[in-house]
Amino acid sequence: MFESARDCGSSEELREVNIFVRAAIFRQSEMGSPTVPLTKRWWHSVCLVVFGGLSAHGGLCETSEPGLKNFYSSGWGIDSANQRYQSPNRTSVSADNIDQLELKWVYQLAQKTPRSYPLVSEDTIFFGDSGRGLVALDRDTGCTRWTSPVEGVEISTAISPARMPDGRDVLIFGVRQNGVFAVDATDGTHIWRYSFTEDHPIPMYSGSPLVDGNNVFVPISSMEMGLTILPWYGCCTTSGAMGALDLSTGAKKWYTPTISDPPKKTGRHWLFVERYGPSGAPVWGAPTLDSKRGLLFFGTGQNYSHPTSATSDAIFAVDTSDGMVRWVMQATANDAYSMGCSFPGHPLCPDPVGPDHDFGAPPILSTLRDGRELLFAGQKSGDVHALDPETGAHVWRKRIGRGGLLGGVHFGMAVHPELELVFVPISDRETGQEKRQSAPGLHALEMASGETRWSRILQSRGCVGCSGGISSGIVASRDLVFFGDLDGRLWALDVSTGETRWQHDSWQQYDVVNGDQAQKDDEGGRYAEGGAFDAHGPMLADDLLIVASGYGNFGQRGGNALLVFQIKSDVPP
Amino acid sequence: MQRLVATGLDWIFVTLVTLLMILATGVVEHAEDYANIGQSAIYAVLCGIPAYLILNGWLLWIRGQTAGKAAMSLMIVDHQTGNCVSFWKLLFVRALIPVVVIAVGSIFSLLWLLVLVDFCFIFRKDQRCLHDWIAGTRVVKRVTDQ
Repeated sequence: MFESARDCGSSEELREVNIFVRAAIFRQSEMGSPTVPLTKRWWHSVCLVVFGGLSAHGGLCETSEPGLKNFYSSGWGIDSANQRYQSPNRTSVSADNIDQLELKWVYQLAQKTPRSYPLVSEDTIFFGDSGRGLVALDRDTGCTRWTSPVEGVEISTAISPARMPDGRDVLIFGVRQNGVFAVDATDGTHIWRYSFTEDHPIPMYSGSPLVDGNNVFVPISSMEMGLTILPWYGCCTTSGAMGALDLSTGAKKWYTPTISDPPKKTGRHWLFVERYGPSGAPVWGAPTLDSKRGLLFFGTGQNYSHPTSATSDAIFAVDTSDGMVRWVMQATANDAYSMGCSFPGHPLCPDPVGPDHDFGAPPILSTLRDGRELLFAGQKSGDVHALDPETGAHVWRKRIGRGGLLGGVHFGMAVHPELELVFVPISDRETGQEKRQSAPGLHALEMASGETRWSRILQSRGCVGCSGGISSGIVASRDLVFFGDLDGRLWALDVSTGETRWQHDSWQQYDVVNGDQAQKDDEGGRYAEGGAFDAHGPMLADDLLIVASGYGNFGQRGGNALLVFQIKSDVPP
Repeated sequence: MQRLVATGLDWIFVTLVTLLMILATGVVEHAEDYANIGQSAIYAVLCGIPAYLILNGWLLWIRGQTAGKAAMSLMIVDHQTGNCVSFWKLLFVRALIPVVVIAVGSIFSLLWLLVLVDFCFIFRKDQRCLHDWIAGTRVVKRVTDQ
């Protein structure tokens, strides 16, 4: 059905039919899922047909099938070692042509606070457009090849390409509260969905899945962190975890919680509300694969309640085959913190309260020129750890800046294997609890020793709530390192010196390529708004730089712009 | 204006007692209760029913008043006779209508507008809201013996 609709041409009517058929395919395929209630699926599909179908006009491509021969990343970390380094054969953007980098097109995302990370093929950009679903956009024009509606809609992770044993190309991604999805990369048809609800009552999928062979490794955090603002909630009983699924079927292979001890009742407040612990140690970030050792590395966050565990604010190494824990390196002990602590006197704020020094950023596995391998992990305390991947023992540890609630390393670092540098983005937003000197900006450390090669402290714009800090993930190339700051500025710095080579200010309104599919603003215009750069950060592919602007979850400026830049000289006349 | 204040007071009182009910029963205390947000919302609304009865049951039974109306010296009477209205009519017809509208409105959001429509009837000359019309009641100032 879908193919024949595509082949019939490009009239607006047929495009509407196309959307209708795609929604129907979604409904049909989802009905096979045992965990989704039928009535909910039915109403969801009706809404998609009525509201999505009626608004489907311009912005759709003539050809819907994307090219799937070359992908420019394997998931969150560009490679499965999470190095966030794009080699020269995968990006032509360099210091020599960066002055010709220009905005090519902008796509209006349906909702503010984008969380997804683009996956790029030879002619398509795949992105999680919360509010619409997973979209496949033409690289050249930004037109939409297909939209795969997703229940729960908030696609919160990077997208991993994979090939099933039967030869089908699939895309794997996580939806914040609804599980891990596999869709057919050719047309977005749903293949399977899995949520670890047998093991965890309220799992959350904020870390990106990683695909290796027929395994899909899934980091799991918990909605419980947010529930701790409710004073009647019995805090807390859930544990973070790492799970593994079968790529072909979506069936569970193994599940390893980060806290092995079951929670016990520890007291009560307000006469009725019971307290529990240990809890927490969520896994916020993507896992890192060590194929040689057969290990998976990942970081954990703090405990939500007392007693604390020996596995919070820690780096884990587990066996890829069965999830057995090989070693755990805890960086900060006795760290119990909950969202309730945002309110003075809240009964669910642990006492004593910890500093909230999560490992939110995925660890990076990299090899030095002398053959030594090191595992680098950045923490919200501002600490950078270099570990022996065999044992978890420290090789060096260095603290940068202040750290804390909104400080230190958030979404992720990058490395430059040839120069042997670790690039450390530091957020260090002001929270009124500062005890140390902050260092918002980017810092280049030597991989072997942790010595600082250069530091680039970024000044804020100076407005209320603004910050020059870097919370988002970053990406490095042969001679440049790219990142966006919390004040909406996109930067390219020289990897050797930290000097600015290019900058773009995204605090502006952009014309968009969505056509009639774009939402109107109050004055009837169809625009996208830029905002803070946060979450997963920029992607480099060929002559393109792709980044979403507008993550406003913690008081930053929100927005809904997917920006695609291109080196001008490579644009055909 | 007095009716508006009385309604506002009723919402505040019922909400507070509902919170107490939620605390005492623990219906939304555990992680499992949040696996289905819609279900936990229903549990919370269900806690509101005994909360309403605890707060207003006795007053409705003997004087046709809710706590808010008592505070504002208002009472509900039969529109035709001016006499007190049966407790069961007050409960299952007059009080249940807004609850049903809100519950249904939480599923089909546009039906929330019915609450506004209900409220707008207050501007009629006889100041009878839609739920008064359906229940055959009106709200009057309570005059004491003194």
